[in-house]
Amino acid sequence: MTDPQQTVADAVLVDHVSHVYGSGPSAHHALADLAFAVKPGEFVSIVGPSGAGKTTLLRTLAGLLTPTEGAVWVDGRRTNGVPPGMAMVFQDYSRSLLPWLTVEKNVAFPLGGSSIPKPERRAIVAEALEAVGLGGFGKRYPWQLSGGMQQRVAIARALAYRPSLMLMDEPFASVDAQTREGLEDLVLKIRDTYGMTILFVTHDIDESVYLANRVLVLSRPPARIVEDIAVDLPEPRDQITTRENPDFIHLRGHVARLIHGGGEPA
Amino acid sequence: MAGPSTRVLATRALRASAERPRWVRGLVSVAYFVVPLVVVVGLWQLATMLGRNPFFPQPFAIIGNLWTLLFGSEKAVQDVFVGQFLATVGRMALGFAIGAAWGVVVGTIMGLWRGAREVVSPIVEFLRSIPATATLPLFIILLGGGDDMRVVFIAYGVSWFVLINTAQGVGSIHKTMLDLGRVFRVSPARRLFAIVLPAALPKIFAGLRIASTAALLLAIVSEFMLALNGIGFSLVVAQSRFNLLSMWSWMLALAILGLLINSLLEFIERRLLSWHRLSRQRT
Amino acid sequence: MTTTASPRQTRRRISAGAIWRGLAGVAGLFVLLEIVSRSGLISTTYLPPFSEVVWRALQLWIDPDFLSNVGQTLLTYLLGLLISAVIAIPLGIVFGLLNPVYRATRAVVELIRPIPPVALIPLVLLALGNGLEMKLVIVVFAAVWPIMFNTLYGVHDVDPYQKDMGRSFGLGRFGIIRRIVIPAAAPFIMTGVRIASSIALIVVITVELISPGGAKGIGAYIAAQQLSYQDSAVTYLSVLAATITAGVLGLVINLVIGWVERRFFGWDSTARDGV
Repeated sequence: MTDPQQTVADAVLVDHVSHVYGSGPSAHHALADLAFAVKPGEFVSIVGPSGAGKTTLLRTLAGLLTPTEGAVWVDGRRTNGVPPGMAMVFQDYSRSLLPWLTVEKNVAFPLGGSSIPKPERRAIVAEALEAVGLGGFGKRYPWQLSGGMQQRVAIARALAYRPSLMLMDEPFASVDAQTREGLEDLVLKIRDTYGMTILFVTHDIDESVYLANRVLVLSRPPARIVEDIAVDLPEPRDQITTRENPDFIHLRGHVARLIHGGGEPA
Repeated sequence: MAGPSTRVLATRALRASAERPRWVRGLVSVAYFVVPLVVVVGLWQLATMLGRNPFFPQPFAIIGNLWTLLFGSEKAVQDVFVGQFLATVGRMALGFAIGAAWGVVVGTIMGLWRGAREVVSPIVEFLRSIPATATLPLFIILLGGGDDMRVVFIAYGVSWFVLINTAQGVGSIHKTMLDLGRVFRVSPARRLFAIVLPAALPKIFAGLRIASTAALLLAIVSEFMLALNGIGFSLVVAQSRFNLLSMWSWMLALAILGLLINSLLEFIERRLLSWHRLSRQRT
Repeated sequence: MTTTASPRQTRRRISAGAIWRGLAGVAGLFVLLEIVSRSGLISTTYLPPFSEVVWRALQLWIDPDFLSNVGQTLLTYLLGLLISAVIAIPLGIVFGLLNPVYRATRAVVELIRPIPPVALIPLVLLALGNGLEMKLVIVVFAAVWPIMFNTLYGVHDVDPYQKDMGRSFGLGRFGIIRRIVIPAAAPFIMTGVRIASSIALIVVITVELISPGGAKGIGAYIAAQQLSYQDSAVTYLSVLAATITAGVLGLVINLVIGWVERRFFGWDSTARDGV
C-alpha cells in the first residue's frame, strides 16, 4: 500500500495510525498502521467483522481517542482532540438525544455555545428538521418519537452544526429494516444537498456498498485495511434497482468474502 | 435497543383512550385516599368515646388541641406557630440546603473523576455508616447546644444521602451522552450544567427526597437535647408535663409537616422530571 | 430511554488499582489527621491525635462493660428487624396481591409514615417505661415500612407470564403464591430487609441516645459519656471511639447483608434499587 500523499484537497488523512489499549501481556492491539485519505465530498463506508476496531477507528477520527501512534489530519490540520467542522451521529440514538429537551432544542444544542444570533439559529434548526422530513415535530420530545424518527433528529442535529465532515457510527443498526431503507436514502439526499464528506461505519455489507463511493474493509484486530474498493454504481441510488444491479451483487459478494475470510485479502 | 415502532405507539394510544376518562380515575383516586382516612378516624373516635384510655385521646380532641396550640390566639400564633413550628422548619430548611449543596458538589466531583472516587470511597463508606444521630453528642461537645450546632448537625447528616446519590447519578451517565458533549465541542462548563447535571438529576432528586426525610428527623432529634424551641422541644416539654393530648397534637403536627414536605417535593419532581418519568414508560 | 447505564454495565468488579487507591486514601487521611492534630493546627480538644482515638477504641473493644453495651444494641437491632420482617412480609404479600386493599390503606399509611419514629419516643416512654419493649416498639415502627413496601412491590410486579405458566401446570391459587410469586419476590423482600436494617440500627442507637439514663447500648454509652463530659479528654476520646465503633458496627452489618443478598438473591439485579 503506497503512502498517501497529503494534499491540501484531502478532507481526511489517516497517517499510519495504530492504537493499543492497555499495556503488557493483556494489551489489545486494536488498529495497526492504518493509512488512507478521503477526498472532500466522498462517501466512504467502513466495514469489518464484529469487534474489528471500527468503533476505535471512528473514535480516533472524531478526536475522542488519541492514537498511540500516527495522526489524523482533518482539512489539512492535524487533529488534537475534536476538530471543528465535524459532526457525529451515534448508534444509540436513545442515549445521544437529551430526553429533557424538545426536538428543536436538541437540534439546536450544538449551536448553544456559538455566537450565532438566536433568530438565525432558529432558522437553521427549522431547515435541518425539514431536511430530514420532521418539519412539524420541533416541539415534541424524543421519547414521543419512534426509533427511526429519533435517529432523524440526531441527523438533523448533525446537519445544524454545518459540518464539512460527518461521521456515522452504525447509525441504523438499532432500527428496523423498513425504516432503515428510508434513512439510508435520507443520508444520500443530504450528501447530495449539502455536499459534505461522510464516513459511515457499518456491519451491514449491503448497506455499505449501497451508500458509498468507496468501501474500506477492515480486518480483525489488529485492524488493517484489507482492501479499498471503489464503488462505481450509477447514481442516484435506488433501493430496488441498485440492489438488483449485477455490479452491486458482485461487489457485495466480494466484500462479504473478504469479511467472512477473516479479513484476509482474497 | 430500537425505539417503539409507529404501530406500537398507535396501539398504546388506542388502549389508553379505552380506559375510564381522566376525571373519573382522578375521583376514584381521591376516594381511595379520603374514605379510609375518614373511616379510621371515625372508628378511633368511636373507640375512645366508648372506652377512655389516657394514652389514646380522641382524634377530634387532638386536632382541636393542635389548632388551639398553633392558631388559638394572636399570642399563640406568635409564640407557638412561629416560635415552635416554624423554628423547626427553619432549621430543617437551612440544614437541608447546606447539606444538599455540599452533597451535590462533592458527589459530582466523585462521579466525574474515577480516581477521586476510588481514593475517597472507603472513607465515605465508613463515615456514612456512622448513624447520623449518634454523632449528636459529638456535635454538642464541639459546638455547644446552640442553633448553629443544630444546623451543622442536620447538614452533616443530610449530605451523605445527597452525596451518594449524586455520585451514583453522575457516575452512571451513559458514555454516549458524554461523547456527544465532546464531539460537538461543548465547553466543559456547559457540559457540566447542560448535560451531566440534568442527566443525573433523577438520581440526585431521589437523594434529595430521602435527605428531606432525614432533615426532619435530625431536626427533631437535635431538639430533644438542650433546645429552647421547636417541635421536638415541645414534644419533650409536653412529655415532662404528662400532657398526652399535646404530645399527640405535636406528633400530628409532625405528620402534617412531613406530608407537606413530601408533597412539595413530589410536586417539584413532577414539574422538573416529567421527562424522566415519561421517557421511562416507553422502554 | 434512560440517561444512566443499566446495572449490569456499571457492576464492574473492583480493580486492583481501585483497592490501592482506596487504601492510599485511607492511609493518607490517617496521616493527615495525625499531623494536623499533633502539630497543634487544630487544638487537641477538638481533634485528638488519631492514634490516641484508635488506642481508646481498642481499649473499649476489650472492655466487657462496653461490649455488653454493644451486645445490647445488637440484640435490640436483631429482634427489632426480625419482628418487623414477621409483620411486614405477610402484610406486603397480602397488599401486593389485593390491590384494592392496598389502595385503601395508602391514605392512612402516607399520613403515619412521615412521623419520624424517634418522635414517638416521648409517648412510648410514658406508656411503656424505659426498657426493651419501648425500644422494640419504635424500631419495629420504623423498620416495617421499607420491608412492607418492597415486598409489596416485588409481589405486585411478578411477571404475569410466569403466573400463567404456573396455572398451565395445574397450580392452584395458593400453589402459585407459594411456588412462583414468593420466590420471584424474594430479591425485593431482601432489598427491603437491607434498607430496614440500616434504619433499624440507626433507630436503636438513637433511642438509646435519647432515653433517660439507665438504658444500655452504644447510644446510651455515648450519651452517658457526653453528659459526664467535664473538659475531660478521656470522655471525649471515649465518645469519639464509641461513635466510630457504631460506624464499624454499621459497616460490618451492611457488608454481611450485602454478601447474603448477593449470594442467595443475586439473580435479579433490578430488585436492588428498592423503594
